Order: sequence, then structure tokens, then C-alpha cells
Amino acid sequence: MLRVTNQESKARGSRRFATVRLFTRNKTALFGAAVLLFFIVVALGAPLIATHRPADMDPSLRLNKPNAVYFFGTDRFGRDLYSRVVYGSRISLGVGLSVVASTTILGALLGLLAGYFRSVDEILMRILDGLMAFPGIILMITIMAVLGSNLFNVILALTVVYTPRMARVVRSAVMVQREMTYVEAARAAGAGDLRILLWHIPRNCVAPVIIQATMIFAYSVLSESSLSFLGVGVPPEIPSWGNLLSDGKVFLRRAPWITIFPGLTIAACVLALNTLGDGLRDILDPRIRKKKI
Amino acid sequence: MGIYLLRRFVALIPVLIIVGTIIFFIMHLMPGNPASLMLGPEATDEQITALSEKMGLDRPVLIQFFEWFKNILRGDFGNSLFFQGMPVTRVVYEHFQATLFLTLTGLSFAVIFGIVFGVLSAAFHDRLPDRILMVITSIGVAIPNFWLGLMLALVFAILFPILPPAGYKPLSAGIWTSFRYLILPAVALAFGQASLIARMTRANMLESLQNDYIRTARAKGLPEGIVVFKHALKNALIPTITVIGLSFANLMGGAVVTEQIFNIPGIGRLLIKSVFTRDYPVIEGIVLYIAGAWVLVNLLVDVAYSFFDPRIKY
Amino acid sequence: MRHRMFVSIAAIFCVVLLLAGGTAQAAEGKRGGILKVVIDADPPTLDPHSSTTTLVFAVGYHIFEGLYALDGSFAPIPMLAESMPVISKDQLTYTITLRKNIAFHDGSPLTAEDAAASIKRWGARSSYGKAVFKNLDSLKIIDNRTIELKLKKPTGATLVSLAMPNGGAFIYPKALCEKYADKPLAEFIGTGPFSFVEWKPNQHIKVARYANYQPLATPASGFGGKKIAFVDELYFVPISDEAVRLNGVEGGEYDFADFVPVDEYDRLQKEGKLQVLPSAPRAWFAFNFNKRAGVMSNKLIRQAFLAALDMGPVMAAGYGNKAFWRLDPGIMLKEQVWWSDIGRDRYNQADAERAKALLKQAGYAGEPIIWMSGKLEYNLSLAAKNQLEKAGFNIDLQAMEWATLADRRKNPNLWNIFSTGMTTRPDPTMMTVLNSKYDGWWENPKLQVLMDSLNTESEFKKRYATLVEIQKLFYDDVPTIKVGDYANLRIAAKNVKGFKNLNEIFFWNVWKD
Repeated sequence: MLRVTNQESKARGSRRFATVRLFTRNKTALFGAAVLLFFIVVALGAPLIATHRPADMDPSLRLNKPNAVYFFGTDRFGRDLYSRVVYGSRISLGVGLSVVASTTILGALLGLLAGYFRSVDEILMRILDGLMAFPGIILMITIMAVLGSNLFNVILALTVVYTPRMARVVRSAVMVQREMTYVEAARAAGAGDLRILLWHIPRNCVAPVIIQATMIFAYSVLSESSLSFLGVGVPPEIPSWGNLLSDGKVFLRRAPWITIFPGLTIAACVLALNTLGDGLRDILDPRIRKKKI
Repeated sequence: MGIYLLRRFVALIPVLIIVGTIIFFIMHLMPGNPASLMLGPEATDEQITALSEKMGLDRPVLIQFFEWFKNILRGDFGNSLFFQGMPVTRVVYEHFQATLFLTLTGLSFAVIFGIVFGVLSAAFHDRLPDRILMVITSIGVAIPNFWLGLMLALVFAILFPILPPAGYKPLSAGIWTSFRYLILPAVALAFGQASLIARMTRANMLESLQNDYIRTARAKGLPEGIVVFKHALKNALIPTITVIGLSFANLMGGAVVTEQIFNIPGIGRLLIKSVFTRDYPVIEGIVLYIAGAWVLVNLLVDVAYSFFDPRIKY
Repeated sequence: MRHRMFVSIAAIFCVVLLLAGGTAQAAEGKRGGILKVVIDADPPTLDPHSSTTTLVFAVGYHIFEGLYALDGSFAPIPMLAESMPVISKDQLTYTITLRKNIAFHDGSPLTAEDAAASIKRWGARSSYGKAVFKNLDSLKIIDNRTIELKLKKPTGATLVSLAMPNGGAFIYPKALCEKYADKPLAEFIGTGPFSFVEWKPNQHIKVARYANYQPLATPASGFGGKKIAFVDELYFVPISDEAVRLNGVEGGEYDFADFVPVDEYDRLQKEGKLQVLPSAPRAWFAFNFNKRAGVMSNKLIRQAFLAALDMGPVMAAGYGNKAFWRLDPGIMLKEQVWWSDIGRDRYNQADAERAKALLKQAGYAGEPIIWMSGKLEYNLSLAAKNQLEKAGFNIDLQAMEWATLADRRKNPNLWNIFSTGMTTRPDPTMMTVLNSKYDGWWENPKLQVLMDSLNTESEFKKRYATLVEIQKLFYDDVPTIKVGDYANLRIAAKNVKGFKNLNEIFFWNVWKD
């Protein structure tokens, strides 16, 4: 008996190692992770990387072209766009991460409940279907209009919209796992519902959750910018990427750099997240892994 | 099948009730009074109170809710607080056409380009065309669609004026005229979904190209073209069809932003405008309509799915 | 030498004559075509009695006309009235006779009954109408073409109120006035040069030339005089996004747009593909204080606020191109007879030290100041916030959409300042900022006395002196900060001719080549 467990843990260890090895071999995942890491470093080190204070105004410098002092040019207040993009990464990544954290916790909880207890499933899924019953952006606009525009409300609106997705992913993973032999085994070994629910099953649902989390991260960055564009996003004084981008739309002809640099930044970040998600899916989902796409 | 459809229809009702109720209360908790927006900046408090009464907004929210709910059951969605008190159903209907055409045009672009590029990519697996298409589609998923819309308008309507920069013409103005106005918005709207469909089709194609029957077909000496397009594609399309339903819903959401950029009088602009003017009955009508439409589309997709894949039975 | 000079003067004279001849000929205009005008939103209604929102009359006065209209210098001139009213010696009775042979768009003739019913409805619904009716003793129909207004006290503001477009006394058929006595019109029948065709929400408002329109013989001036509908059809297309408005006209889809981003002026001017039309200054930006509750109810803190501001950079950062704004202390615009620059030493002090001293004197201890701003004024407010913080203010600037702001500002406990625009009015009694009921509540007893005299006096000189006193008080009590005057950028396709670039837009006498 003891030997068996030992072997099992060895096998698991080597599987984990294999995952890491697969990750380093998977170029797309590595690329995505590298770019994301770059953005995280920029966000953390913003005060060191930025060349100006992001809120400093100088009307005599308004709408300057990109140059050696103002790498990305200046905006309508003569603020340095480069520094604003750098500081903006804190906001945009912060929003993305907060949404990922809250949707993962909430979604996992709801998904576990729905997937494990059939009685809860029916009601919970009705409600989640109700929430998913209309396009996310419309739900977000409505929530933002009701609660007013501030950073917390943006996170809240995005969480409301993306939690059902996460819950559905977890639920279907749980439903698969529920029928697995190890659950039977755990139950036979005397583990209660709670222990199975909070320990055994989650350990085996990690892969789809991580994949879904990177997707939600990417959607959050994009949705934040759409909300700002429509005028119901993060309040305008906060330099989120979405706000920088939508500030520029009026100057599309006169000062295109105000639109181009934040736009490229958003695209790069979302692209990194998407490739990371795709790569992770290849690595973590053994069914797809064989396909060698 | 018939019983299944019936069950799905019945299941639609609680969803609509939940959505409708949530929206009703959310809307009435919002700060802002349509009466003061109607009257303009110089309105006095008495004028605002009088108009609020006229609009029926002075009653307790619960009573307003039951009134509204009772009327909905009778098929009466109420009247807009603006637009000279036009019935909500008519307001929504008038905006529905533009959104529907925009979404359908976008959907057909997304499906056609998505499948064609996906197949091409798979056929040229790991060669230059595949690489280029993969880069384009990666970007397609990553850029905000309003940004793309503004750029498209700038390039194709102003710098090279070949297409109209904004506006909408109904079908009655002629099919070509109407279509011309929809090209840029539909491309802006569909680019992301087309990229998704392309990537998915490519993955499914690659998967089915590895199947035994393909190997058999190749071994039989069938031309590669026939192998790719006839045998592999047929199989690879099944998952794509499920995505189409989802795409439709996503495109309808994206239309909110696209309509704003290309000044298309659709549901999205109506919704944003109604939120800003606090036109409660219209917002409630739109949300119910969108929720209903979304559920119906999903139902249709399920039906189509069972049609394409005979293994699935309800 | 003399001789040569005479020749050149003669030559100039000839050129002037030629030019004059040219314009006279051009003024004939060309009939036909469709004109598409971009406006910034759907108006809430087209019934000016029911709303003071600018767009309501800006679209509405193509369909409706009043008894009087404002001319180029904002003075009343006859429109549907045959002449200026006959005013009794005691200045209390106004007898107004209507023009002959005027018919509404539905074919029914204009009578005194229609005029009386419309003015009654206006008096019951419009803010300005209500003000006039407070001082109205009676409104009588004398005969088929004549009505008589009897005032309680003489005032100079009555005629201007009847003539102004904003929330103005437009004349509708009596039947409509009765049918829509207590709600905004849903049918639009007037006597104007264009008749209403259809309103597709979010798409367009369409009006068409009214074939039976009887233009006045008097030359066009301001919003009155001879009006001709040259184009067959006129579309008002609502587009809320500035960038999209510009794209639409540049791409040739629409013929005219108002509220185009002013920073595009130089480029558009240089490219020369469109007519670039800076409007006359039409309004001023304002930061309005809550005088009833909270930190800003302290006059010293308001004075410190005024002292700290350097208006130039605020306007530059907030509004853009210098050609579209100017600094000026007047409550009324420089273009108006009412203008005065009294208080100029208090306006635009840019003195952070003085502000600090005043704050200290007021005992301000860094309490947060809640400042609400809509989208249009947000950038301006942000630039000002930057300066105020340097003087020691603790500002909490909140951007919010208009509906929320309009609602919140009714409650004095929710805010300290809000940003807004003050559009110009022909008479100071109509200036929102001087109305003690206006949110912010400037309930200074001195103001009440001055306003009463302004309302009841009818001689211009005395009224002007009173206004100067009010403006002095304005810069001492600081109920509101005037930041600066601003103008709009309007653009039109090259073939749009005859447009009069006044403070508000209209499209009679405009044609397409």
C-alpha cells in the first residue's frame, strides 16, 4: 500500500516536471508569457521607467509629436503620453488581474456547487443563463450606468459579466471529474462531500480554469477600453489604456499618436494573453496535446 | 425533437422573467430623471415634478413594476418617454432592422472569411501563407473593434474615399446602396470573430486531416484538393457551426460599439441613448428583446447542430 | 497725384459695387437638392414650449415661427406680427396684429385664436413664458387678427421673451395647443418655411419646403426677416461622437456639422476641402458653486477659488485652439449691448498666494471639495483642478454623464461645484446664472433687489446701470466662476451657400450649388 502511494506521487512529480518542460518547449506559450512578464515588470517599475509624471500638464506643449523627450508625443494637456502608457499598465493590468481573481473565486465556487450538487445545478444555471442571456457589453453598460463610473465599478461590472463563463467551465469540469474513479475511491475511503468538493476535485480542474482565466484577462483589457470609448468606463482622470485610447479619437487626424500607441499597447497585451492561453491549452489539455497544432 | 423544442421554449420564460425583473429594478435605482432631461437646463422643480407625474414616475417603484409586468403579459411594452411617446415595440422594431442587417452581414463576413482562411491555413500548414494568416488572425482577436472601425473609416472613407464614412440606408434604398454602407462597419465588427473562426477551422481541419479515413482517401490516390475540401472540411465544420451561434451573440454585442462609430441607427445606439436619457420603458424593451433573441439563436444552433451531426439526438 | 488717388478710390468703389452686385445676385440662391445637417443628438422633443434645450428650437424654428424674432443684434423684429406692437402710454398694454394670409402647414389660416392659445400654452409650460405670465394681467382676443396683452407692471423683457427662440413663444394651431395642453407636442404643424415630414429616432428628422410659405419683404436679419427654403428637403442627423461627425462630413456623406473638434481647425483650413466656419462666441464656461451648503457656501473660499485661477491655460487645455475662445469678465457677451468689463481686476488673477491667504482667513482645513463635471467641460475642469491644488484646495473631481449630474445637482448635500456652459441670452433677466432658483442657489438679498429693478424697469440706460451693479456683485460674492467665452467650429461642404454663421444654426436662405 505504502509503495503504491510512493509510486503515484513519483508519477505525479514527473508529470509536473513534464508540464514545465512542455511549457518551455512550447514557443507560443513562452512568447506570451514573456510579453506578459514584460508588461508586469513595466507596471511594477512604472516610477522608474516613466520619464515624466503622468498627470503633469503643460499647455504650451500640447499635441507635440513623438520626439526624444516625449517618446510617444504629448496629449491635449501637454502630458507625456509615454509615461501615461507606462502608468496605465498598472490600471489596465490591475483591472484585468482583479477581474481574473474575482471571477475565478466566484466562478469556481458556483461551478463547484452546480457541478457537484444536482439540486443546486438547476436553479444556479438558470440564473447564470439569465446573466449570459445578453451580450456582455450591454450588461456592462447598464451596470456602469447604474453604479456610476469608477474603477471599482468597472471591475464589478466585468466580474458580473465573466463569472458565469468561469462557473460554466468549472461546472462541466466538475461533472466530468465527479464520475471519475478517484472520487469514488476518496468517497470509499471516507472523505465527506466537503473534502471531495474543496480538495479532490479542484486539484483536477486547474487546467481549464487557468485557460479560462487568461481568456478573461484578455477580454477584460479589451472591454475596459470599449467601456471607456462609450463614455461609461474608468473615470477620465485615471490613465487606463482604454481612456488614453478614447482620449485620442478626437485627435485621430491632428495627433494620431495619441490613438496609435495605446492601441498598439492594448493589442500587444491582449495578443500575449491569447497566445499564452492557447499555449497553455496545448500543454494542459492532454486531449489537444496530441494534436500537435 | 418536438418535445425538446417545447421544453426549451418553456425554459426561456424564467430566463426572461429574471432578466426583466433585474433590469427593471436596476433602471429605477439609477440616478437621473427623464423629466428634467426632457425639459432642458432651465426647468424649475415644479415643472419637473409635474412632468414626472405625467410620465407616471412618481408612483412607488413596486407599483410601477407590477403595472409594467401586467402589461408585458398582455404584450404591451409601454411607450417611450421620448420620441413623442412612440410605443416601445415600434421604437425597437425600427432600430431592429439596422442591427439585424449589420449583424448578419458581419456574421456572413466572419463565417466566409473565417472558414476560407482557416482551410487555407490548414492546407498550407506551417508554410508561409499559414504563418501570415496566423499573425493576422492573432492581431484580429487582439485589437479593440472600435479602434479598427475608426481606422477603417479614416483609410477607406476619407483618405481614399471609396466607401461612405458613416450612415445607414435601408434595403428599400436598393440592395447595393444598402450594402455599401454596411461594408466598413461589418468588416470592423466581424474581424475579431472571423479570426476566431479561422483559428478554429484550422485546428479542426488539422485534426480531421489526421483521421484514418483521410489517410485512406489519400492512399486511394484522391487529389489533395478533394481530400482537403470534401472529406476533411465536412468534418471540421461541425464544431464551427456551434461557434456561429456564439458569434452571432458576440456580434450583436459588438454592434453596440460599431453602430456608434458608423452612426448606424440600430439597437446599440438606441440602448446607449436610452440609458443616457433614462428612457426606462425602451431600455427594458431592448433588454428583453435581446435576451429573447439570444436564447432563440442558441436554440436554432442546437437544432442545426443535430441536423449536421446525426449522432446528436435530443 | 490727387488725380491718381481719385482713380484708385473710384476703382475700389467699382470693385465694391461689383462685389455688392455679386452678393445680391448670389442671394437669389438656387432651388432644389437635399441638405444633410449633422447635429450632436436627437432633441428630446421639437416643441420649444416644452423644453429649453438648444436643439429643440434649433430644429424647431424651421417648422415654427413666433410673433417676433430676434434680429442680428438680438433685438425683436416682427415675424408673424404685422409690425411692432402698439404699446400704450403707461407701458402696460401691448396690441399685436397678425400678418394677413398666413396659413399653417395643414392649410388652416392663422388667426388670433391660434396666437392666443399658443401664448397661453407657452405661459403655462415654458420657463420664460411662466416668467412673463407672472406679470400678465390679461390676454385678450380683440378681433380675428389682433390680440392684446395687459401687464401688471411695465417691463422691458416682455417683447424679448416673445421673440427669443430658446423656450420661445412659437405659434401652433389652436387645436394642437388644446390637444397637447399638458404634454409635449407629438404633431408638428407651424407656419415656418419648412414643414415636418418624419422623425426617425437616431436616424434623422426630415423637413421639406413648405410651398405656401409667405416670406417677409424685409431683408433677412438674425433669426428673422425674409426666409426662403431653397433646398427641397432638410435632414437633421444626430451623431453624438465628435470624431464621427467630422468623418461624416469629410467623407462627403453629410453637408454640414456643428460642434466639430476645434483642434482640427488648422488642418481643415490648410486642406481647404471644406468650408471651415468658426461660429460667433455663443456661450461661456462656468464653474458653479453650491452656495447653500458645504465648503463653498463660504464666500472667502469662493474668492480664493477665483483668485487662484489662471484662465488662459484652463481654456487652452480644456477647449483647444486659441482662435475659438477668449478671456473676458462680462456676464453678457462682448457682442451684446449689455456688455461691461467691470470686475476685470478680479477676473483671471492667477494669484496662488492671495488664494492661500484667503483660504487661511476662511479657516479652510483641506476639506474635500466635490466637483461634478459632464463630458464636455471635463478637460477644462481638470486643468483648473491642477492649478487649484497648487493653491491648497483639496479637489475631488468626478466625471459623470449629464443625466446623473442634472439629478445630483438638485440636492445641495451631494456636491460643492459643478461645471457647465452658460449660453448667451438677449436679455440679462434671462441669464440662468442670475436666477436665484438655479441649482447653486445664489440667494443674495442684494441680488434680489437689483433683479427686481431690472425686471420692472423699461429704460435701457437704467437697466444697464443695474446690470453693471449686478456684475460688480458677481465678482465680489463669486456665485459662479466665469472661465471664458467659447465658439463652436462648424464645417460645411464647399457647395453649401448662404449660411449665416450666428450663435445658433439655421438653414433657411441656404442652398446647394
